[in-house]
Amino acid sequence: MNTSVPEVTFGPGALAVLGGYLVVMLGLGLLGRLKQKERSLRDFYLGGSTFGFAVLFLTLFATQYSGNTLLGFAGRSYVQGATYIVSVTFMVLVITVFMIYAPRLFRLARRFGYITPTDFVYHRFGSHALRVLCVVLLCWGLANYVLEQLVAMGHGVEAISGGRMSFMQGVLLLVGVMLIYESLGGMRAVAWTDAVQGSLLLCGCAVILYTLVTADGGLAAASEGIRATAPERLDAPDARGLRTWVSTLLMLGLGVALYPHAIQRIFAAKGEKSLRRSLAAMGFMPLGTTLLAFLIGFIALSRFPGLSQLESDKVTIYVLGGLIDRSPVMYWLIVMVFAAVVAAIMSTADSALLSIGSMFTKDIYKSYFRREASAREMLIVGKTFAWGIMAILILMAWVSLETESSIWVLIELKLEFMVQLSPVFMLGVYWRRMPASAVLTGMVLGTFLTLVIWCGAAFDVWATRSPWGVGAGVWGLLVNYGICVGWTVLRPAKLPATVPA
Amino acid sequence: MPVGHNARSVANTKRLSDYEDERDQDAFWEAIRPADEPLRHRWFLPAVILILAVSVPWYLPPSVGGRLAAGLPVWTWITIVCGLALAVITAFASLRLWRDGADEDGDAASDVASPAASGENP
Repeated sequence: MNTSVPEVTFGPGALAVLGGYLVVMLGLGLLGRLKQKERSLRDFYLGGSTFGFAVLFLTLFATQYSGNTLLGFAGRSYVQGATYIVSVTFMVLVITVFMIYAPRLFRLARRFGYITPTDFVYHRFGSHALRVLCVVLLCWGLANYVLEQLVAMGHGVEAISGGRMSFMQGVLLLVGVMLIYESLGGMRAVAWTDAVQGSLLLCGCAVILYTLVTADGGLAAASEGIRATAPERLDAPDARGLRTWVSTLLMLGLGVALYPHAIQRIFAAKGEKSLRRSLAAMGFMPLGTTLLAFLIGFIALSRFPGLSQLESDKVTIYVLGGLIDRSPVMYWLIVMVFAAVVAAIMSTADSALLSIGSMFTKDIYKSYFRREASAREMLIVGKTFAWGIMAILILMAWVSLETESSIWVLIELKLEFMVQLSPVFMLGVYWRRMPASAVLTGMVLGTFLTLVIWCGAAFDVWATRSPWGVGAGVWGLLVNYGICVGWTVLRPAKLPATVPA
Repeated sequence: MPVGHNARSVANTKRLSDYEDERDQDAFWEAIRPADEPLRHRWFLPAVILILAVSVPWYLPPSVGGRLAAGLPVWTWITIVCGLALAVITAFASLRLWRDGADEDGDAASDVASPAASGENP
């Protein structure tokens, strides 16, 4: 470890705050259970579609901005330098992409009672193979997403406990609490805890932003420091960097907009007005959160040069830990910020896990194994599956710790595949003549190409998984869209005689 | 309705390809169009693409990074301002260009979920 990195010592006060926070989460889970109106999938996985603006906005916010935003994005900013400012654009773009398909998907969800994103896929295309492939790709992405949160949980608790709790103890503690409140109250409990977690996150981000721009000379001192030690990190991107920039915009802008747990929040809205207002507000959030993560990495680059890839994931902890001894007020502010980081991690992990459970239960178990399964049976299966998946992911988090896998690598594995669903939603809601065969072929070949490029780089067959500066997933996506459009133009689906072409 | 109750009760005896015929695609496409949506406004998508094009600093040499403003390289402020512009246009689209035409807050109870699509047992 770099010798200039500060030791973070929070003391027992921080542990008491963390303990109190976890008790509140459990209480909300219990309350969610008591408020359950019926034992149905809609009530458990969508909270009965009753979320108004405040809860919907906070649950969208807490879900979208994860431990990865405050830890992983800051780490990436540290490694990449000023060019990671692209993160602000792609997080706004995610909400812009919602403007393309959400108005139509929301109507369909209301009319036909969708629970999962793949309800739409099957309803629109009528292909079992396509539905199963979508579930596999989405669950793959979500499982990696949860895994990434587990890694962040471990780092977060390790830091907040000042080393009294190990990485794995932190993971087990937070996962235990999370599984209990989620299993008790389902989406209702998750959304209510998200509301608390989102509020904490908003306050925490405001505190960090104020602290960063006022302490130790702020950004000006940081830039001067970088200019002295690594001036190339201030440069605008070169030709290859520009291609990577556009590739990142496409992959994250389109991929993050397809997170199933975010789509399910569209389904969970009380009505159109709540949803429109929530999404409008969400568009501005990257300017407070993603930009903040960028600035943390930027400042860390000037203060702690030379960190390894794994250590770069902890720059948020290092930057804030360096401020903790300034005053008692600062101590409690930083403790609150770390509680917000833990909140962000848990709120994202619980939503993703709930989404995995819903897709397995509804789209696989009910559709292919037990068509006659009751709602009660499906809920039990969904919870059991979620607990099982979590056990596997905890094991993988431990492995990732042992192998020094960085958070950023996990993110790419997630989105490279998930983004292949983009034509299903972006074209699927507009283009009636696009047949299932075109979408399925495009998705299979797009995913296959992504996998080939990725594996080739992993096994040193070729040097990079981003040929010409463009990510493997984006190459796959280009092939995918090309097939969907080309196939539909050449062999469009037949429409009923009553429908004008 | 995408799949009827009666159809589902005999579903296990059918081949996979038979399911497609049971989805009422006319109902699907009738339900899908809101009263208004952002993409129906011809300026929306070009405006988004224009903002994104400006946000990518392809028109600046890499060495411009040495010039700072308010503690950050000047060129990063262009991207940040473009991010703000994209947020404004997205919020405008969400609040002014999107009208569902049928569903307002408080009407959720009237939305009866299709048991077939939701997977609930009727």
